[in-house]
Amino acid sequence: MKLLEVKNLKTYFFIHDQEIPAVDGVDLTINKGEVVALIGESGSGKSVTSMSIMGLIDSPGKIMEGEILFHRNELFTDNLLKKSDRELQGIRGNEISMIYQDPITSLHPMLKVGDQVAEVLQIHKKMGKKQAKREAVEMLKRVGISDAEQRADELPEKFSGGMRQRIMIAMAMISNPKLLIADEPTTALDVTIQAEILDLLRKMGQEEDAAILLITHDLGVVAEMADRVCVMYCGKIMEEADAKELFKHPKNPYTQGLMECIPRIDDDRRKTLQIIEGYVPHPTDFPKGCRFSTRCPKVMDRCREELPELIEIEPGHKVRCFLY
Amino acid sequence: MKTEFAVNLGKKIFYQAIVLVMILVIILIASGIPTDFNVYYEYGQYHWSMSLEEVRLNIFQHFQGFLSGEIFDVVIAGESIGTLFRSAFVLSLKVLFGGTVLAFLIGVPKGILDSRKRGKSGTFKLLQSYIPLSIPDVLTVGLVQFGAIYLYYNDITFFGLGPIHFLGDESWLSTIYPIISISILPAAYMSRITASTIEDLYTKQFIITARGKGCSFGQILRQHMMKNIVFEILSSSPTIMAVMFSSLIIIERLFYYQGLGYHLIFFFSSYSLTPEQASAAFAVFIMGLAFFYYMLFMGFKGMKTWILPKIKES
Amino acid sequence: MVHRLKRINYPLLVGGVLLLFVMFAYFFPHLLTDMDPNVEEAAKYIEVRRGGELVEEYSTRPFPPNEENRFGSDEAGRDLYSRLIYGTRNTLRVAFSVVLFRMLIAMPMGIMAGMGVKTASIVINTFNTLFTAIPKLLISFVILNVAYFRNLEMQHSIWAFAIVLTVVGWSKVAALIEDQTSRIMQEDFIEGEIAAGKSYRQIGSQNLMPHLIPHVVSYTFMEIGMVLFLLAQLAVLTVFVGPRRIALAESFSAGFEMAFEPEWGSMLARAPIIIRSFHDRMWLIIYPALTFFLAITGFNLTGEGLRIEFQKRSSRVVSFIRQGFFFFSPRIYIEQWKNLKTYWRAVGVKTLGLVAVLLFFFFPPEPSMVQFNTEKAFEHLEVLTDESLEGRVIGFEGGRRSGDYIIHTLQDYGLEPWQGNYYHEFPSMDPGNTGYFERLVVEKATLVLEKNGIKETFHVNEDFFLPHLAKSISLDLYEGNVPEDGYTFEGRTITYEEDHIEIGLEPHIDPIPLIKAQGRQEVSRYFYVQGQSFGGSSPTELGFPTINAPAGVPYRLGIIYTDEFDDRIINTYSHTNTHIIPFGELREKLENADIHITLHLDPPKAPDYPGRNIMGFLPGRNWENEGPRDLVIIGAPYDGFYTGGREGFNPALSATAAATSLELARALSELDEPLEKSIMFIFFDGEQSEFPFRLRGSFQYNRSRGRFEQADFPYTYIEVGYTGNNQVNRMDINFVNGKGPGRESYFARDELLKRLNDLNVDYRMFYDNRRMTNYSLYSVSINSEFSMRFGGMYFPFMNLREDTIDEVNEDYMKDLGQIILDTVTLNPLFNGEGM
Repeated sequence: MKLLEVKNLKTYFFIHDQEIPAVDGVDLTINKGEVVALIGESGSGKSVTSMSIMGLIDSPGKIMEGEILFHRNELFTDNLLKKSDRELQGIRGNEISMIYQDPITSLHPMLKVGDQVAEVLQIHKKMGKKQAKREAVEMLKRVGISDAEQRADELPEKFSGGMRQRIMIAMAMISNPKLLIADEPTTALDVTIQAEILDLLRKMGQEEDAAILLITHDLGVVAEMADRVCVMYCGKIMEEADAKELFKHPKNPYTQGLMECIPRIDDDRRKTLQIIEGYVPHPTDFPKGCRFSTRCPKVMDRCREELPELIEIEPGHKVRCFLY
Repeated sequence: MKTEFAVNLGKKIFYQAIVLVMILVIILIASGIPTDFNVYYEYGQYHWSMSLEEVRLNIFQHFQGFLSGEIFDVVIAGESIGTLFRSAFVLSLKVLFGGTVLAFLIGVPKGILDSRKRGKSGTFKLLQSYIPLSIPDVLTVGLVQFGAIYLYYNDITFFGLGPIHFLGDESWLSTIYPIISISILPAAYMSRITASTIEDLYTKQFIITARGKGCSFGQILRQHMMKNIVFEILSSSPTIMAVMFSSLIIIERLFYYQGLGYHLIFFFSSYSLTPEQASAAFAVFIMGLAFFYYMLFMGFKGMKTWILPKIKES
Repeated sequence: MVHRLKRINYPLLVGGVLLLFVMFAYFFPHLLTDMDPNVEEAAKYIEVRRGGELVEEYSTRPFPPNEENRFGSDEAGRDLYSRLIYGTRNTLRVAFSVVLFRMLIAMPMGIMAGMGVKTASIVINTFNTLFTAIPKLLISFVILNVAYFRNLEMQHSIWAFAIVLTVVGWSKVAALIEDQTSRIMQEDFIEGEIAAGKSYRQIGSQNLMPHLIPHVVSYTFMEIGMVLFLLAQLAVLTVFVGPRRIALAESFSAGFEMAFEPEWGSMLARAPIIIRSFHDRMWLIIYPALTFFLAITGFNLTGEGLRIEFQKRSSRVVSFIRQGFFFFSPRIYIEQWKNLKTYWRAVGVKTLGLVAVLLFFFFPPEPSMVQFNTEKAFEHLEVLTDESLEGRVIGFEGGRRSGDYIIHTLQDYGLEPWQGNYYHEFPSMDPGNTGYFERLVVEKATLVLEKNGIKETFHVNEDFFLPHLAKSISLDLYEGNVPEDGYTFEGRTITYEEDHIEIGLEPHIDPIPLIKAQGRQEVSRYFYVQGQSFGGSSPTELGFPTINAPAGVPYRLGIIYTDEFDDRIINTYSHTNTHIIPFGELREKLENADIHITLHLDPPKAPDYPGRNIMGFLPGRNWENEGPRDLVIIGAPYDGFYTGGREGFNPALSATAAATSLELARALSELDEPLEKSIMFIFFDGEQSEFPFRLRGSFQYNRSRGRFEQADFPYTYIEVGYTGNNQVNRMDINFVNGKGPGRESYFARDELLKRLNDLNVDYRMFYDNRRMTNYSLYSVSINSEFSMRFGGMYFPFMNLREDTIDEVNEDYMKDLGQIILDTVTLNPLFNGEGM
C-alpha cells in the first residue's frame, strides 16, 4: 500500500542571481513498511529531496512545484506541500521522522540526551515530563545504550559517534513514525559501526512497521538494506527498480557505470579501477538534453538535444534513457 | 585535582586583584592632579599655573586622605562625601538596573522578531537594527523630553501615576524617563545579538534536528536557543556596560538626576567648590565607579565561565 | 523584480546617500546656504507661521525657526542652519583625524597580534581592560577639560582631540583587526603558502592584505560613526574643539563659553542648560542632535553595508574597489612607465592627476601687493626712542614733539588731513574730575632710614619706585597749593618677625601686620601698576596691606612689599594713596624692627600740553561715490613712559606700534593704484593711562569725534599692536565682531587665516572681547563691521632695562606689518571686491 508519493517535485535554489535546479522533477513512491534507497553522487539532489519531504527547505531554496502525497491511512491523504508549517510540525517527528548524516552535530550539545529524546513525546503525545523521560529511557535501551537510566542524564559529548546515531534513531522512532527518512546515516561512521547501525535501522523498521527512505551514495549499504532503489543524477531520477533487479540488470548507463566502479574482491588485481569519465556538471551548467550526456559512453546525438522521460520498461523497473 | 583547580582559581583571582589595584592607583593619581592645573598663555608665552612639585604634593596628600579614610569625611554642601556617594550610588543603580531590565525586555523580543523575518526582505531589516545604535544620547533624551514635556503640560497620567516632572530626582517616578532613555542603546545591542545568534544557530544541524522533530519555533527558541542567547548577551556585557555607563553620565546630566554621573561632572566643572573639595569628591566617586564597574565586569566574566560547567554538572 | 528588491544592499544605499549629503556640506557649504554663520543678531522682526499663516512678530535671540532662519538661531542669534552646514567641515575633520590616528596605530598592532606576536596582543588586551574599567568618556572628558586644551586654536585643538581620543580608543579597533587577521591566517590557504615557503612578511603583504583591507575599510567607516557619537557625548559635557569666548552678562546670557567657529559639538554644549526650558527652545538641541544622528547613521550604515558587500562572493562594489586599488597602485604606475609604449594613455592620465594634486597642495601663495619695509620702520623707531623725547609722555614736552614728528611724516607721505585736521586735542586732565592730573612727574624723592643713630639715604628710581601719588597732591597742583619744599612722610617699623612686619606711620597708632604669603593662599591685596597686576599670580610673593591712616589725615603712604618687581621704568600716576615700592638693599633694610622712616618728595610736575590724537587720510576710489563709503581705520598708540628719571633706560617696545603704523602709511600711500576703500590712520595719545580710560586717546576719539564717523561710514578697524621682544615668537591676534546686525566676518576671518598660513606666521588668535582686549580695540570696535588687533597689547618685557631697540623682534614686526598690508590689499572683504 502506498505510503508516500512524490510527484514531479521541483526544488530550486536561487543563489547569486542564478537558478539552481537541485531537484528537477522527481517521482518517488514508498510503500508501507518497505525500505527504499535513494542513491546518487554528492550534489545529485538526494538530501534536498528528503528535506523537501520534511518541509525543511529554507531560503534561498524554494519548492517550485509538485505534490507529496502522504497516505497516512486508507481514508486520509495529504499533500504535504499544501500544508502550513504548523501543520507540518505535527507530522514531523511524529509520523515522518528523519535522522541525519553527522551524529556529532545533530544533537544539541548542552541538553541531556534523555531530555532530547523525551521532547518528542512531550510535543506530539502531550506527555508529562516524568513519563516521557521514562519512555525515553526505555527507547534508549531498545537502541542498545547500556545503563540507559544513568546515561540518559548525560550530555551528547559523552557518547561516541555510533552511540549518538543510536540516540538519533531512538529520537526518531519513539513516536512510531510511519516513515523514517535516513539521510546518509552511516557516512560519518566507521565501517564496523556502520553495520551495527544498519542492523538497528532494519530492526526498528520491522518492529515498528515503519518504511524507511534510505539516502546514501554507498552501493554496499543499498545492497544490504534496500527493497527498492532509485538512482538520482543531477536532480533527476535515472532509474528505479527492485534492489535485486537493479544489481543484476542495471539498464541506465549511469547505473551501469556506478556498478562497474565498485571493485570486487574477486577482480583481477591487475585490472585498473573503473571510473566514469568526466565530471558532474555544475547545476548552472546542465547540458541541454540528458544530464548524463556529457559523460555517457553510449551517448547518441538525440541524448544531447532532448531530455528523455522516465519510462517503465518492465513492471517495477523505470528507466530514463533513449536507449529504451 | 581539586587542589590544582583551587590553585588555578587562586592565581586568576590574584591576577585580577592586581589589575584592579593598578587601575585604582592610576585613577587616584589622575584625580589627585588639582583641577586648576593647566597651562595658560599670556603675552606671547606659555606658563604653567603651578609647579610640578605642588602637583606631586597634592597627589601625595590625596593618597593619604584616601588610605586613611579621611577623604570620606570631607564635607560638601552640608553632607560628607561618604553619604553623598551612597545616595548618588543608589540613584544611579536604580537607573542602571532598570535600564538593563528594560533593555532586555525590549531587546530580546525585538531580536526574535527580527530574526523571524530574515531573508524575506533581505537587508532592509538590518537598517532597523542599525539605526537605533546611531542615535546619540542627546537626541534620545531630547525626544524623550519632548514626549515627557507634552505629557506633563497636558496633565496626562498613567494608571494614576504622574504627571511626572521631566527633570530632577525627587521620587522614584523620576527614574522612569532616565530608564527609558538609557535602555534604548543596550536594547538595540541585545536585539542585534539575539537576532544574529538566532540566525547563526538556525542553520546549525541540531536545530534542524529539532525542527525535524516537529518543534515549533517557540519551542526551539525556548529549549534550544535561549541558553546560547543569554550566553552571547553575557559575553557582550562588557561592551554593553561600557555604553551604559557613558550614557548614564550624559543622561543624568540632562535630566538633572543626581546620581554618580551627574556628580562626577559637577565636581569637575562647578565653581562652588574649592579645588580640594572638588578633587577629593571626584576621586571618591570615580574610585567607587571604577570599583563597581570592575566588580560587575568580573562578575559577568565569572558568570560566563561558571554557567557552562553548571549546566554540565546539574 | 521582487528578487531585485531583495538584493539591494539597503544599508549601503541609505548610508551612501546620507554620506553624499554630508560630504557635500563638507566641500561646498556655500552652495547650501548664503548666510554667514558667525553673524550675531540680537533682535529683529521675524516671519513665523502661526496657525497656518505667515505672521510678523518681534523676537529676541534665540530666534525660533522662521522664514529667514530655517532652523532658528542659537542663543547668540547666529543662524543655526548655516552653522550646521559650515560646521560640517570642522566636526568631520576631528572625526577623521581621530580615526586616522587610531588606524595608524591599530593596524600594525592588530596585524602583528593576529599573526602571533604575543607582546602586541598583550598590549592590546591591557589597553582594552584598562579602558573598560574606566569609561572612555570620562577619561577623555577629564583630560580635554584642562584649560590648556580649551584655549587652543582650531587646528591644534583638532590635533589634541585626535591624540587623546586615539590613546583612549585605539585598542578596540586593534582587537577587531587582530581577530580578523588571525581568522584569515587560520584559513587553509595560508597553510599552503607557508608550506610553499613564503616568509611571514610576504604572506602579510600579498595574501593577508587583500583579504584584510575590505574589513579595515568597513571598520574605518564604523569607527568614524562611533567617534562622532563620542564627540556628541563630550559636547554635552562642554568639551568641544575650537576657540571660544566668554559670553558676558551684557551679551545675552551670563558667563559661559561660547564657541566661535561653527562646529556641531559646540552647539550641544549648552544642552543641559537649555533642556531646563526645553519647551521654549527645542530647536536649539534637536537640530544639532539630528545632524549628528544623520552623520553617525550615514557612516555606520555605510560601514555595515560595505561589510555585507564584502561577504558576497561576487559583488560589483568589491570589484569596483579592487579596480580602484589597481588604478591607484604606485607599483603598477611604475610598471606602466617602464612599458610606456603600451600604457601611454594610462600613464598620461595618472601623471596629469598627480600634477593636479601636487599643484593643489603646493600652489604658491599669492604674492603681496606691497612689501613692508622693516628698515624704514626702524628708522621711525630710532627717532621716537630718542632720549630727548624722554619717553613721549602725554601732555609733556617729549610727547608733544613726538606728535609733531608723526604729523610731519604723514604729510611727507602725502596723506591728507581728516575732515580738515591732522589732529584733535583733548585735555590731559580728567574733565570729569576737576584737578585730577593722571600723569605726574616727580623728579626727586628721597627716603631716609634711621636706626640707632645711623642714617641712610635712598633715592627714587634707584632704590625705590614711586608708582602712585595721592589724588590730593594732584589737587594741590591744580590749585597751586603745592608746598615749596614738597611733601614729607614719616613712620617707623615696629616689629619684625619671620613672617610679619608691623609698620606704623606717625601719627598713626595701630600697626598693621604684613603677612608673608605662602603658596597661593594668603594674598592680602592685588596691586595694579602700569598694566600689570601682581600680588596674586606667582607662588611666593608678599602681599602687603596699605597702611590706612585714620580719617582726617590727608596724605597717606603705603609701602608695597613684593618679590615680583623687576628693574623697570615705573611712572607716577594719581591714585587714592601714595605708594612706594622698595627694592634691593632698601627692601632688605626694611625687614627690621625699630627703624625710623622719612620720605621726602619734591614738588611734582604736571603736563603742559593737552593730549593729541593724530589722523592722516588716504582716500580710496570709493571716496567720490554717492552714498555710504566704506572706511578702514588703522589705529596705533604712540605715547610711552617717562624715562627722564632713570639712567640707562630707553624702552623701545612702546614705540613699535607707531613706527609700524608710519611704515604702513608709507607703503599704502605709494601704491600705484589707490584701493577701493579709503583708509584713515589714527595715532592715539595717552594709551598708557592706568585706570581712567577717560584720559585715553581712543576713548576721546570714540566719544567725541569718532561718533560722527561711525554714523556716516561703515568701517572696519585694524589696530596695530606692539611688537614683541626677541623671546616672543608668537603673534597675538584679536578678532572682534562688530555689534551691529548683518556683519559678515566669517569669510574675512577665513581669508585672514589662509593668508597667515601662506606667510607662515606663528600666531595665537583670540576672540573674546574682554580678556585680551585693550581699551582702544574694545571701544572703537563697537560700531565697526569687525575689528582686529595684530600684535600685543602688553609685554612683561616692556620698560625693563633690557627693553631696547636691539631687543625688538624684527621678524615679528615684519610679520605684523606684512599681514596688515596683505589684509588691506588682498583680502576681498577689505579691498572692496567683496566675496
